[in-house]
Amino acid sequence: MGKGKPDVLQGTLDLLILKTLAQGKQHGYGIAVHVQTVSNERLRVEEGSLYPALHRIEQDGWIRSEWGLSGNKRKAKFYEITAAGRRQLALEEKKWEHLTSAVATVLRFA
Amino acid sequence: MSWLRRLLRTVDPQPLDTALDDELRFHLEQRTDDFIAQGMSAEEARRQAALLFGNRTALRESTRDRDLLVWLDCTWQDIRYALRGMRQRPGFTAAAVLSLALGIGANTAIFTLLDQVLLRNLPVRHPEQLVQLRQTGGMVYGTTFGDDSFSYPLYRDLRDGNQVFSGVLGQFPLTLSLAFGSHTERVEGELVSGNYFDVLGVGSALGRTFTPQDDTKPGGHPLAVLAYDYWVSRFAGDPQIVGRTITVDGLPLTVVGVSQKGFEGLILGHPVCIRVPLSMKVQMTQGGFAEDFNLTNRRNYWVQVFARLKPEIARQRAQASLQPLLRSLLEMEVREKGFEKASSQNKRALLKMSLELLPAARGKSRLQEYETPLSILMAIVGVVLLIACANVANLLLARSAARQREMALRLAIGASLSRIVRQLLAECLLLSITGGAAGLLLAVWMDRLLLRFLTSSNLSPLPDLRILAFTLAVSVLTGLLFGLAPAWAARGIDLAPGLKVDHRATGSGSARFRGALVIAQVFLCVLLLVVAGQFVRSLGNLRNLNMGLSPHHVVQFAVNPSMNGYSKQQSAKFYRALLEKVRRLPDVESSGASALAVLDQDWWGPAITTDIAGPQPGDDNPNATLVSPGYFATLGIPLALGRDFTLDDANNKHGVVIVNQAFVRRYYGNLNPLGHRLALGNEPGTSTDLEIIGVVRDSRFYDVRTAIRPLIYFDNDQNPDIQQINVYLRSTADPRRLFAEIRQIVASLDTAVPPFALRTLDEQAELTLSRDRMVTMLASVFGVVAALLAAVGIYGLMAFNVARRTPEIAVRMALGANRGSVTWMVVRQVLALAGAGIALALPAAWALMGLVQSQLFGVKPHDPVSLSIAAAILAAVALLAGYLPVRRASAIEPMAALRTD
Repeated sequence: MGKGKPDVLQGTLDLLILKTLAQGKQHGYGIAVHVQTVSNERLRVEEGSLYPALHRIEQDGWIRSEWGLSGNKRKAKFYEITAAGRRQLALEEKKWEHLTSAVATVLRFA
Repeated sequence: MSWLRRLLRTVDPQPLDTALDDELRFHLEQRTDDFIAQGMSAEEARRQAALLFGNRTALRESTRDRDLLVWLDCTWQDIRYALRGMRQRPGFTAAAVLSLALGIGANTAIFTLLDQVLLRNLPVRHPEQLVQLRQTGGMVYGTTFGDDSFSYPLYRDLRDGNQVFSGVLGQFPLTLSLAFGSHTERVEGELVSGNYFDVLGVGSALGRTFTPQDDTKPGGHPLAVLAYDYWVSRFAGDPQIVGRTITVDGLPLTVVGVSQKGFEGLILGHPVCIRVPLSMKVQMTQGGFAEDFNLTNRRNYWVQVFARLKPEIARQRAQASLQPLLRSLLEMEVREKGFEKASSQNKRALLKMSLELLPAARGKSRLQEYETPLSILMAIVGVVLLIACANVANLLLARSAARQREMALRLAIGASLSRIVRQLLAECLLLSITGGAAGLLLAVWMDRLLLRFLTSSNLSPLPDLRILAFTLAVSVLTGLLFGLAPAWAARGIDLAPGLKVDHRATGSGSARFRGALVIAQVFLCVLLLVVAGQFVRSLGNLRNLNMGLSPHHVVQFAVNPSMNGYSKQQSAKFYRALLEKVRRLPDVESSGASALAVLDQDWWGPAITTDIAGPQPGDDNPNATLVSPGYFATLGIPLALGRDFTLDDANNKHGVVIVNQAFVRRYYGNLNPLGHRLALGNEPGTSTDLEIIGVVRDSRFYDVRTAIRPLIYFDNDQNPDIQQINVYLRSTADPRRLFAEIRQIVASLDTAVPPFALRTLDEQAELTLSRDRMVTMLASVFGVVAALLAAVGIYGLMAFNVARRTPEIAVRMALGANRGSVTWMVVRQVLALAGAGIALALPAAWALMGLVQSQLFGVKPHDPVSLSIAAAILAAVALLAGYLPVRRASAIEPMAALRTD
């Protein structure tokens, strides 16, 4: 569906966002913190790419957003995964496994 | 409506920015809090957080661009996809666009005219304050041009004595001959009171308009104001025209100015070229009885009166407060000299008069007779649009049923439902806007055609901005209307079966809905055909009507020498010379002339006195005209009793008249009227000095449609004081061949007295039917269009059904069903659809027929024949539309069909 050439990195970010949201509603900052924590600080999501990505994925209909109050009573925009998003997540996960196993195979041969 | 929201954001990015800012600020604050929790100072935490965040503006912009780009990209994609879809299915696209173009075009065309005739206000200051005065309830003791007319003194007294108007103007429309340079032409003119332009608030484009000082001295203001359009067309917009002299009806007038652009007058559909002060009435209208309609006579009513209400006064209140004023004025009048001979009965009848104030914000419409027909047509085209919508919805449903697999696939690979619905809507809107654009072109063309039927009108066939908005709104609404149904159907797609099962076997629910759509189409179509049928029969009745005269082989034309300043004697001489010459033209069998043109909606209804106790005053006056010897023979009106006028009567002091049979029935009953006497005027003591010498058979006079009324024929030659004369020639050959010679003869007498209304009498009769012809033609055309649309609908549904049921039919045939029973199965379905629609339509049509009755001639309000014809036509159309699918079904080869599955 004409999203231009999806580079691996962008695809990865989408995957990380969808995976995070698959576990529940979260705001942008929460997603960044979650990815960082779960990956034992090995992955850091750049704000400069996080928000454009969130808005783009929302346009695609994989996530939807609403305004709510955060834990400390601040107004925050919460994102939530949609059914289409879950399907997309399954697809992306499969793609990712495919890619990593393929890369791993190549590495083993080399 | 997320499209709309996005669009709004494109125009004004503020709301989006604010939301984005809020979102980013939250991020920053949250991180700052976390840093503080880790033990940083508040200042340091903020600095670190900002550092991590990077360039906030760049981030904000890239995110916002993302939003916009994605949206634009999706929209562009939708459009591209829709265009590709349209290209891939040219048949579908053509059918849909054509249906819509017809529906939308018809609506735009009729609305363009309706808007100009009925809805548009006059281009004057505060048009809502304008009213027209009308006199009702009383009997004018004298002669009147109609219930919108007043005597000049009465106008003046009302103007000066009322408390409720900020201004009262008077006007009198007339045809003038205008000479400038070497060229003379007949133009529509108007005599107007001096305050005319002030009261309306209409200014000048050049020079000045009239002021009340220009209208004080009778005959003392030889001035003229030109209308803007006429100034442009006749004088090429020459600014030097102010101060120049033009000759109008032989009288030199000085042009003082040109009125404001866009202002044409108060009578819609009747643009005026030149205006002259009312005080010039006697000078501008000479001959005939015109001089009785002057500035001092209180008995003859001719001034049309419009007024502007004071801002705080309501129309009803003003109307009530005017009655005492009118009453006192009339009571004063009946004591005056002109009324001294009036019987007390006449006086009482006059005093019963009251005033009515009609809203005149849109002027007085000469096209008012077109109001009802145009409204009927508007309803008809609305129905055509509905049928077209049903058609397109049907086509789209068939398409979406065929595309269910595609939809299911797209949903399965992750397209969101909203995205798909959006794309379906984009397709529909693209279709409807294409259809709308085509419809607009069609509308302009249709209006050009329609305007030919509206004689002497200045309506524009071109839609203005409001109409364009109307068309756009209709197109978009139509798109949403028929687009939402398939989109709604897409909502319910069940993924698994949608993907697995052959598409032909799905969609039985939507097939039922489509059946309902086709039944609705048939229903509406029958209604249209019934109405169209009524109009066709009405026009047929009018055309085949025995008018009591034989119009074939008769040619007519008119001249008016008084327009060139001829005196009574000069005019009479002109007529004699003219008649003498045309009579001698080759092939001319007989000739005659009359003061009032026959079948031209011309009218004269004088009060009369007869020598026996006839109908009481208060009854309608009889009609009257003046004719020459030979008139009856030329028009083919047979004499029933007595004799025609002869040339000798002209020199005879003894006055003679001829009457029609209706006159005899009304005034003389079973008596032999020959030798009885009558007179013009109904004052007591009027001596009856005119002898009835003949009775002619009844014939149509006013127009084809209007019933025959009592009619008196006076002798033209005994009353030489006539303005316009209408000449009739009966030819043994094609009467059109006389046209050139007639022009030559008139020109040889005086080039400044041009002949007009030169046409055959058949054409003249047809002219008075132009409204009937217009409505009938349009109703029929729209009926045919509706039938075609319904045929496409039936064909589409049946073709789809046959395709869907091919395996089933194949199985039936394999099991022994013969082709006849398969054919019958499909035919039965067609008949069921058509039958259901027709059955529903019949009672509705029965009720509807009464509604158009006022427009019909000689057609019964509830006529089973029209109903049966409409039903039969529709049944035939349905069977024709079903023919191809039926043939396809009966041609199914069972083995081949089953194998492909």
